[in-house]
Amino acid sequence: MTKFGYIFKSFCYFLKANLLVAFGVAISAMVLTGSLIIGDSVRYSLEQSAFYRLGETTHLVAVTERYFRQEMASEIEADNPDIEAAPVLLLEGVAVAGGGQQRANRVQVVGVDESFEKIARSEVFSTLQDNEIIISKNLAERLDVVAGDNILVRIKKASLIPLNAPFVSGDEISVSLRAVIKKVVEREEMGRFSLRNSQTAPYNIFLSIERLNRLMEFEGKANHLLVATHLGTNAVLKSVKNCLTPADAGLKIRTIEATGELEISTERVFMEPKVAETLGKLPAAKPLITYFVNGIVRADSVAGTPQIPYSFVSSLGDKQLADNEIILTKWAADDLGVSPGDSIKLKYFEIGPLRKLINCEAGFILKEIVPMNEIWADSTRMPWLPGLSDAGHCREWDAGVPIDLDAIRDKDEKYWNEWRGAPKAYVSLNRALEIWKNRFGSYTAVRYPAATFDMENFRQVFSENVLPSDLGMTVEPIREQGVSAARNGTDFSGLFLGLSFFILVSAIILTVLLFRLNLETRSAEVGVLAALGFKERQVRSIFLLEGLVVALAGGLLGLVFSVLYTSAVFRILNTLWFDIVRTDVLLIKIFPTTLVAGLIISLVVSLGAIYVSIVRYQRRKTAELQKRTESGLKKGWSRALDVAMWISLVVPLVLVLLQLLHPGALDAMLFFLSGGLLLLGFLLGFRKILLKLDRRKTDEIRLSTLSVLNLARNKGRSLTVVILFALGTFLVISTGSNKLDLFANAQDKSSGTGGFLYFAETTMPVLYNLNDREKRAEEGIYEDFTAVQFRKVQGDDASCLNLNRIAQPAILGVDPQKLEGRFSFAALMDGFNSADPWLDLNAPLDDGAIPAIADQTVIQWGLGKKVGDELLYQNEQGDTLRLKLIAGTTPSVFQGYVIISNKHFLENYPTNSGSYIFLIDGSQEKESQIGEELQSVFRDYGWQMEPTAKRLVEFFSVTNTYLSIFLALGALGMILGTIGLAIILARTILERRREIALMQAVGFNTGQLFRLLATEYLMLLVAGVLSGFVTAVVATLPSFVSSNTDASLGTVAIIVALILANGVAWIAGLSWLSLRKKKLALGVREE
Amino acid sequence: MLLQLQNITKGYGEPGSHSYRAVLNKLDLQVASGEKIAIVGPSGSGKTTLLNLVGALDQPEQGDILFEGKDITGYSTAELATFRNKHLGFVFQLHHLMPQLSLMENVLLPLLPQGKGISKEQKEWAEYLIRKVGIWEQRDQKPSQLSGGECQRTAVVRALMNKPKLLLADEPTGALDEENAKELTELLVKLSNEEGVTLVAVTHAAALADRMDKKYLLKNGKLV
Repeated sequence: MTKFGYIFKSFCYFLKANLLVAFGVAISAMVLTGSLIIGDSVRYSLEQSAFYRLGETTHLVAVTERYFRQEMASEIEADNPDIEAAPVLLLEGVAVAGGGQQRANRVQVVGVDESFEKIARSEVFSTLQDNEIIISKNLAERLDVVAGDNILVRIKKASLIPLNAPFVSGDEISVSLRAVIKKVVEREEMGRFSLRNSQTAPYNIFLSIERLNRLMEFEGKANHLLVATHLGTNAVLKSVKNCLTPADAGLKIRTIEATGELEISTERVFMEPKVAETLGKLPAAKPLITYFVNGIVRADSVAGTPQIPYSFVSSLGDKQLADNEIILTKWAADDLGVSPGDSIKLKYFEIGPLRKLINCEAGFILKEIVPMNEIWADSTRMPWLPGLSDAGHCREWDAGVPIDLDAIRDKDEKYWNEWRGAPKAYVSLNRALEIWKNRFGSYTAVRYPAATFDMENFRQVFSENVLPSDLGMTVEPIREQGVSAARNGTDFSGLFLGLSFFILVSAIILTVLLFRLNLETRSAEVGVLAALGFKERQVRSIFLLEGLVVALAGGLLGLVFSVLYTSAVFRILNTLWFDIVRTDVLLIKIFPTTLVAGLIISLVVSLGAIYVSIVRYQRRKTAELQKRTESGLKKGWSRALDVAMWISLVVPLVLVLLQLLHPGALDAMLFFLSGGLLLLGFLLGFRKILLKLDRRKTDEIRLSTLSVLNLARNKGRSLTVVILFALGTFLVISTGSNKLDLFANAQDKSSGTGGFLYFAETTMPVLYNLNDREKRAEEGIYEDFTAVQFRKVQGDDASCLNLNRIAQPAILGVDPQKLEGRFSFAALMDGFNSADPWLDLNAPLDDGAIPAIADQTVIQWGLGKKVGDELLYQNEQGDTLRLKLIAGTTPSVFQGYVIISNKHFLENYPTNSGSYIFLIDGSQEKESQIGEELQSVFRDYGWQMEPTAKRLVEFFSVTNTYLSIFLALGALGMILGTIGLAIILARTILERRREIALMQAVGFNTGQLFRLLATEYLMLLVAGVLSGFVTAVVATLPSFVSSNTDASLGTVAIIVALILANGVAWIAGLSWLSLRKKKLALGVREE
Repeated sequence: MLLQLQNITKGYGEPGSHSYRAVLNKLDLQVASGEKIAIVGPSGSGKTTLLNLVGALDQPEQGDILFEGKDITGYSTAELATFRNKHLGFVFQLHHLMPQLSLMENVLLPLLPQGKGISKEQKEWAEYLIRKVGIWEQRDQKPSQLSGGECQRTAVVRALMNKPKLLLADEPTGALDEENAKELTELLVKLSNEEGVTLVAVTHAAALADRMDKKYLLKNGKLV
């Protein structure tokens, strides 16, 4: 006979009772471990998702809105044999099938060559013919096509020149391709290829990079390098730097025979500052700017005076001209009839944001007239401007600015035929820079004496001075980032622990309840052990060790349950609850360490509950235990609980009354607190009633009051049942009532829609101002609306639809005035008390950071930050861009983005062209007409538009789904609670079988006894459910009176009815079973 | 003197409140070593309360309890547990045997708090007592398989297992029929005499009380 022998024998002897406790522990273990497994599995799935989308890619070399040579990939491999690289030309497009019936916007069009094999682990991409494409499975499903079908792909027209740069035609926004689907690829063959940290798979179309280059009128260009290596980022960066050539900066070299010079110009028309500065460092550099002006006129010209329309004007360096002097060619001087000393005026456009044209003029004094020879009438000074440089006639010009064809004279046509774009005038370089330098750059070319130009020195100077980052080139450890984003993403473990809170509470209460019932049965044993000289801790350790055996058995059973629970949750996550995961890559991953952790936590929680039960039990005096009696609380405690009860009842009533009488909006948090407090008050009130019943003195007894009196027999048990049902009902109803319906106040400017009608997004950029009346007429837009346009720098989706932890969400640039008075703010940076934070977006901050605004939920959950924190980016010039979050909006249509002002946006991303995101405002009556017109006009832009309220609802669908899960798991908790009630009921009836038998012996009939028992427990059920119901309605009163939610008394009534019906069924069934004659006879005999 | 109770007061309810009911009122008792005393009295007179105090299962509101001259009222709960295990044996009205244990295991149960394992001598002592009370054949049976008398005899053996100086019996024959009650009375007296154990029995049974050396009546909270 040993202590452990005693424990083992006790465990076996009380096996049935212990198994019930183990069941409670198993449920806790199931929920706890299940939540941990769900968390692990989601993390694992996100990681797998990252591997599926990246293939073998470890690093990404990327540029935005510019291109480099494809050969850089093979050069990098040659530079470092430990690096494998594949060039990719990645563009966006729209896919159309079924004669326009099926359409997919925002499709990734991926140009690949055979080196993509190294990344994709598949040879299928190497054999792509010109007219063949490979598409992802999700796109095939979306378009309802299979291999062998034809589809039309409209691809965003890529341009070597920034799209909104001066004199670049914006008419050709897309290029069409009709191709045959060679294969539909699944995730194992890069079907989910994506460079963004998101579990949502993009639509993908793969085609030959050569074909895509030809479609874009490029030659051998790429904008991404997918790198596979075991080396670190610095090694990759070093190789990229080693292989960076002037061609990657878009620089072209040619010899100008006439002047004996060598010219370096840029494919981008205007050279970015760093490149210009570097070229200026070469010996005998002669930078120049050649600009397209609208007119050259005499300064004293009046109407009717001749003017030269649409000409190129170039610059001269070496201080050949003062800043106010101009040189005209003989042709121009003759045309204007001017001579040296006359005043000349140049008329030109300054190109503002969104192609806004600003008419400008500059005045000069004519210094000299030069002959029309190859030196001065030098057509090579004209930069290469597609649509202009290649035009056969002036009337064919497509210069990206309005051309008044009537102003073009025959002599101008003749000039074009003979001299093409040869400058008709020259100004000083200083003056040219002053008036024509723009956000896209400065010089159009730099010339050097051909005889002394040293090509090797040029390459060396370029290599020493121009870093990849100066060209906006980034090198990122994309695999590491993807894994980190997955690992630090939404914590589903914590989430499901929270969502399963009530099941967990129910299971723990059930465990405690069952264990206490066991202890009560064995209270004499506790007393005898004490009498035999067992110390308190010895008795405690005996029961704890027995509890450990029970908990271990329950815990192990719970582990099995947890796997089933996870499978069930994942099944539902893939269907009903898809909104919160948005991926089909959900894989269950069970780590042994998680099982052990789950088991240990479950054991600790269960043993904690068991320990508390034992300690509380031992507080009762040994003698009482031996005699199975119970004493009440000490007076002080009892009084404190009474005071707490009155406070909990009165304070919420006062608060609610004050709120209802107050004319303003109802404070939801205050109501919730009031409801919670009232629930506490009700429960304490119920305790008080039980105590009063216990002390009741009466001279008479009636059958009807017998049930009520019985409630006080075991106050602890009665109170536990009421608490369980009250808490469950409260949680289920209050959660269900908070589901949001966001269509109701969608027109409110302070709401999450900003009062806008539509949110639209395009695949191709819209290069002009949608509010421009003339442009509208040109495009055929006649409906009355206003648009707020947003520039965009690509980034990860930081909305709640993305489960990954995001570091760099997409940046939107906007004119802050356009958002004045729109949306609401949930958080402001400390010391920032602006009435409208939008208007502060333009202001610079003291520390040099740029003010930014994002959705508060994005800041908190998507980015894991708070207002006042900074986000770091690399801007186009390769500098670090610090965005400081000055404010967080309440949930809005901006989820997923961070917003800065256009001013700051263009300073950091000067070559970013056009708008991709639009908020449309207009009359609600015309909503559908406006929508239809915009859809029709911008169809080819991949215009994707939805009502703002609908977009908001989509974001809130995540919140609502979480609430649904909480509701479903809460209901499961209620069922568990009911099982607890049933067990208590069964146990109590068993304990009372002698009493029941005795009552029957003295003449009570079965019907009377049934009523007696059923009424007693129904009272507990109703007391619990009613307490929970009333207080939950108080807690969520704002939701009931608000039209913003779909909370309805009808739904709540159904939930309450179901809870009650379930409870009644158990009570009635068990009561009836307990009154069977056989059992009663046994009871009497034992008595 | 083995046991001395001096000026003991004990009641139920909050002292000073209207619901307070005094049970023992400045009670004195002296028990010499080897003595056998019976405490009788009507139901509710406080007999069990007194026995719980003597058995260190409860604490008096006033007064001292001296065991072998040492006041045990100041002992900690752990010290009291050790005291009970070493010096006291209990026999209750209901046998309170552990249903999960066999007769032998129930008898050996008081050795467990000492945490030393069971020695050969202790085992032999248990066997000796079991044989002595005539339940050797049933030693491996569970309480549910024993008769009421056998259970109560087992409880007596369990109480003597640690060779206590004082055996406390609370209505030991109360749940037994006349014949079994008579047998148990004889057993208690015999064991007390043979083992030199002091016996304090609370009882209604005249047969048991009459076999004791002294008989006290508990009335109005005092022993007379």
